[in-house]
Amino acid sequence: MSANYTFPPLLSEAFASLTRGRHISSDDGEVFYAIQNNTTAYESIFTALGFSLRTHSRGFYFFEREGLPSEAIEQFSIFVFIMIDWMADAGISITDEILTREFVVSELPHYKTDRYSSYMARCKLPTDSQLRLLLKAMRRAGFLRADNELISFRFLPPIYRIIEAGQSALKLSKEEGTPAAAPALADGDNDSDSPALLDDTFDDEVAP
Amino acid sequence: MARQESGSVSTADLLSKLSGGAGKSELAKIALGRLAEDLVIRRVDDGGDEWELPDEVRNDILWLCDRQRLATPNALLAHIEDLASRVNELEQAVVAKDAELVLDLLPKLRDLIGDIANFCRSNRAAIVSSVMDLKAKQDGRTLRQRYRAIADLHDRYVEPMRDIVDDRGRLVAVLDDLQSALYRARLSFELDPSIPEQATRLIQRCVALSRQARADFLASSSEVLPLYAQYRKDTILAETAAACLDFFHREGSGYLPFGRVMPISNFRLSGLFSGEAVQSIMCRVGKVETEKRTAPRCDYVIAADPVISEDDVFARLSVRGNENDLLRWLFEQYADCPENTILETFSALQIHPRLSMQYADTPDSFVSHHVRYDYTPLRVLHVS
Repeated sequence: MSANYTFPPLLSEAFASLTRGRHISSDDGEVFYAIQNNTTAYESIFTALGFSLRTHSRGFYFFEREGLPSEAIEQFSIFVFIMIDWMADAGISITDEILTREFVVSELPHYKTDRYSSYMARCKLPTDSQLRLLLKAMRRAGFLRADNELISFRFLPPIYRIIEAGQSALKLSKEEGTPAAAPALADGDNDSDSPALLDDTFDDEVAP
Repeated sequence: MARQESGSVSTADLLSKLSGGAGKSELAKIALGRLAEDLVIRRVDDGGDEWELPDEVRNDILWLCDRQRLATPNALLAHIEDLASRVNELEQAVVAKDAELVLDLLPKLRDLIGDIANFCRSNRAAIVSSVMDLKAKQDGRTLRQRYRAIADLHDRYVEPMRDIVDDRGRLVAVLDDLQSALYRARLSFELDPSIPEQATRLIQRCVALSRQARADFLASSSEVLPLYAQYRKDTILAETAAACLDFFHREGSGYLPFGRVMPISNFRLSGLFSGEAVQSIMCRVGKVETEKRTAPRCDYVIAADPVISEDDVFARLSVRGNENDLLRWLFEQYADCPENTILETFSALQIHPRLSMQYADTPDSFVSHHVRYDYTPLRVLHVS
């Protein structure tokens, strides 16, 4: 880089968030607007460093990386799909309310029926405390906004990435004929360079 | 059934209607008695022979009529074809200059236009009412049930109307034909005392109907289309969720290739940067200038490693004449030097042009600096 290069504002904050897997939306305040107003500069810097900054049509940014399979992503997806399934059965408009409704954690449907409870147990979230860990991880990743005590939360636009991933994954799976299992995590993938998103020792960035 | 001007109906007429045919008069009397008992009908005057609907019953029935007037566009097409048929008759009557027939047809055409207008109006009311019910969400229906209901409204009642009321649709075509026939009638019978006036009024009704039908359709579709689009999107989302959960139920962990379609960054920052300046900026350390480097501060002098002089080696070897084990000899002659210096010297001497050497036949070993060396000795034959 040239010694005279002027970096866009909040570059280091954006980089720190994005490399940790956070999806930056308007809920992130200044750093979101910094990227929005200097997208080309951010893209070129990150590309030079070997990162791929993606802009989603619903107005958020994230780093895309050829992924290691992540148990956390699967857990996120089950959590979200149970929410959507429950909303559909309750006659709640999903497109109207998924980003506007305040969901009370104690009233979530995930352990209220046998079917949902079995899904949660199967994805290694058999208890309410595990669910809270998941909510914290989703908050760190920018999928939802929640208070410190996790009394209630609201989904953020990046949640559509999970929904769209579900649609893409279904389509991919059908095209390939049989449900394609994600490759199992090899031992070497559990090293410190691939932290689990549910790792509670991560900096817990509380949403403003 | 004959209606009195006041809107009431006689007992005889009511019984006739209720009986529906011969041999049922007793049943009709019973039915009439029940209707009176349940206050669905009442006598106009106490003890009189006339019956009427109480106001509240009338209003409820009218509301039901409007509500239940959700008819498919095929029913409208039937009315339009009736109108088209009468238009043909009018054209023929005008050509035949049959004023009497024209005067007979004009009210019928007016009634048919009225029927079409009522149909469009009540259909619009019925559609709007259905949409309001869906939006109210007080009927406990699931999203999928709501989608089916709105899709039914959209596919059966709204979309087919578009082709009918469109500028190139059947209704406009028939109304255009009617207007043409009426203009000709006005011209052909301009001296008739009533045909021109009736024809003019009917032309105005045609224009009004064309506008009203289009407005009713636009109003219906503006109610239905947004809700249809929303429920459709909701249903797609719900179906995606249900399908994914079903997959998970059957296949368990790794049920779908999420890692391929949704890679998420989870880097650690260590070891990613080749330059301190870049790392400092990206890691919030602050500005670092790499041009200036301060030398490390040292309070003692570190002696340099002794170097084995090539000339000294050759001088010693020349005095010796030949040597059967160059490596062992170097370790003995330069015992004060570090091991790596001796080995580097040995390595350089192996290919030196001033030395004529030969490997021994048998391997040997020795220990020096706590290291055991297993090797084939290199014999120095001559130093030039």
